[in-house]
Amino acid sequence: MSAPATRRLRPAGGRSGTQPFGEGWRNTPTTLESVLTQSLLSPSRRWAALVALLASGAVLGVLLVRGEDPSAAVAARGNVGLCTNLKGDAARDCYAREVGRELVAAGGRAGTPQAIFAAPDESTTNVVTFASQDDTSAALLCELHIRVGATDESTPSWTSWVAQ
Amino acid sequence: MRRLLVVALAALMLLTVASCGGSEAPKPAPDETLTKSIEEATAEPAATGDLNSCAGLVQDEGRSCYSRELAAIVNGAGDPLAAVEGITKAAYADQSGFLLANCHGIMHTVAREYALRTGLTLAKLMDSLPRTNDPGCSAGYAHGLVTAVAPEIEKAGPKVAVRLCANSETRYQRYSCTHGFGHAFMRLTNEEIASSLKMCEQLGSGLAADCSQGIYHDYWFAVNGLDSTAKPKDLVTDPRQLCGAQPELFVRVCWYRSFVETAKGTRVESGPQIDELCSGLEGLQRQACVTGASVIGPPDPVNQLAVCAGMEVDTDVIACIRGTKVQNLMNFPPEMSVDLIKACNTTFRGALAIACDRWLGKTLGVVSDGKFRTTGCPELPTAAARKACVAGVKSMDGPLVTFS
Repeated sequence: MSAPATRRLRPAGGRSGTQPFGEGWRNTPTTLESVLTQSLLSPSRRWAALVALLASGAVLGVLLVRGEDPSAAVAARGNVGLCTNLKGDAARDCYAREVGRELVAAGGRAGTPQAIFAAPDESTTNVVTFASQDDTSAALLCELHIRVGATDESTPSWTSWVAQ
Repeated sequence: MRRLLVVALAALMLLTVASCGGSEAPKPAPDETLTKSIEEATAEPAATGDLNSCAGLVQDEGRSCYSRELAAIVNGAGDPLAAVEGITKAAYADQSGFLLANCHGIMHTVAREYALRTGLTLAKLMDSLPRTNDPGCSAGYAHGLVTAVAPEIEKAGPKVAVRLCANSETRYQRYSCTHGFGHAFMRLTNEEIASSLKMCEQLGSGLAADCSQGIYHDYWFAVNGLDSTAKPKDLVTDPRQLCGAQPELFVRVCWYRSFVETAKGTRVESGPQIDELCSGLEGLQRQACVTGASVIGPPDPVNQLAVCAGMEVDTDVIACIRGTKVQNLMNFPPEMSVDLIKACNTTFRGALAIACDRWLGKTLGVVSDGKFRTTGCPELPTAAARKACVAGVKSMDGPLVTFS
C-alpha cells in the first residue's frame, strides 16, 4: 500500500482535553491550525499580546529618551569579538579600533592621568608633563621611556612599576 | 483573565525598572553579595578580552587585569600578530598612557604563555615575530616568544641562533631578537647572570652586549618576581655592587638596565643631579652610570641634551648623550628627529657636537632602519656634522650596547 499523495496537517502534539497521556491525540488531534486559531482569536491572549507590545515599546522609548541606544553603547565600549575572524590589515585595523575604544571607555571611567606631549609655545618648548585631561595630542611613546621619564612626586605610583 | 493580569504586571515591572536605573544591574540580595565577594577573593575573574573590566584599577591590579584581558584578546585572535600590532596602535593613541607604559612587560608574559600553549617551535619563530620597530608592546611580544623557545635555542646552538636573528627584516628587529636571547638564556640558567653572559658571548662579540640587555632585563624581572621568573640565588639590588662585579663588556648594559628598572619615581632634571647619582665612581663605571642616569631624564630627547650640557666634564657629557631616548620620537613626525640631531649643533660645540651627531646618527639609523642617512643627515648645518651623522648611521650594524 502506498502512502496518500497529499497529507493533512500533522498533529502539533501537546495534550488536549482529559484524554490519557499518549492516547488523546488519536481522538482529538491538536493541529497547528487549531492552535493558531486559538492564539490569535482568544480575546484574553490578544489583550496580553497588546499589553506586552506596549510595554516593549515603552521600554525602548525610555532607553531612547535617556540616550542609551544599546547598540551604540556596545560600540562605544569596543568589541574585539568583531576582529577575531579577520586577518592581516583588516584585523590590525579592527583591533586598533576596538581596543582603542575599550581603552577610552576604561580610561574615561577611571579618570587616569596621562603623559602628554604639550605643543611648544613661547614660554616653553616641547614640555612633556602630566596633565589631568583634555589634551588630544598623542602620548609620548614608549614603555620604558614614558615610565622612566615621566615620574615625579605628582605622578601616580603605577607609572613607577620597576620591571617592564 | 489571570494570565492577563500576570502579563500586565510583568509589563508594569519592566517599565518601572527601565525608568529608574534599569541599565544598571540590580543589587544582589545580601547573601548573594557575600557569596560573590568570597568568589572574587578566591577566584581569578574570567577574561573576555574587554579592557573595560580593568577600569579604575591601578598598580598591580591594573596590570594583572590588563595582562588577563590582553592575553584573551591575543589568544582568541585568528591572526595573533595582527592583534598585537593593533593593540600597539591603540596603546599609542590612548591618552591615559597606562597601557603604553606597561605593555612591554605584559606582552612578555602574553607571548610566552601563548607560545607554550600553541607549541611554537624555533623553526616557526621568525614567522611569529612582529614585523615592526615598536619597542613597546611589539618588542615585548617578540621577547616573550623567544623566551618560550629557549630550550630549543640551547639545543640548536649559537650558530643557528645567530642565523635566526640575522634573518630579521630591520636592524631594530635584529636587536630585539638578540635581546630576546638574553631573556631566554636567563630562563635556561635559572636567572644566573654569569652563565647567561657566557651564552651571549657564544653568539659573537657583535651580539654579546645586545644579548646581555635581555639578561639584565630578565634579572630585574626575577628580582621583582615577574613573568614567572625564579628569584636569583644571590640577590643584589644595589647597581653599584651589581655592575661593579660585571665583566667590562657588559658594564654599560648593566647600568643602563639598572636605572631603567630600579629608578622608582626618579627623574633626572640636571647635570649636577647626574653627577651626584654617580659620585665616587670612576672610568667605565662612571661613564656607564652617567648614561643610565641620563636615560631617566626628561622624556623629550631634546631636553635630555640640555641636561647633558649641564655636565662639566666632556667624558660625562658624551656618556650622557648615549642615554638619549630617540625611540621616544618614533611615532612623531620625522622632522622632530631631524630637529633633535640639529640640537646637537646648537647645544654643544666642537668635538662634543660631533660626538652627539655621530651617536644620534647611529640610534636614529637603527629606528629608521638606515633611512636617516638620506632623510636626516643631509639636513645638518655643517659638513662635519653631516659626516659624523652618516658615520653614525653606518655604524648601526655594530653592537648598540646602551640602547633598548
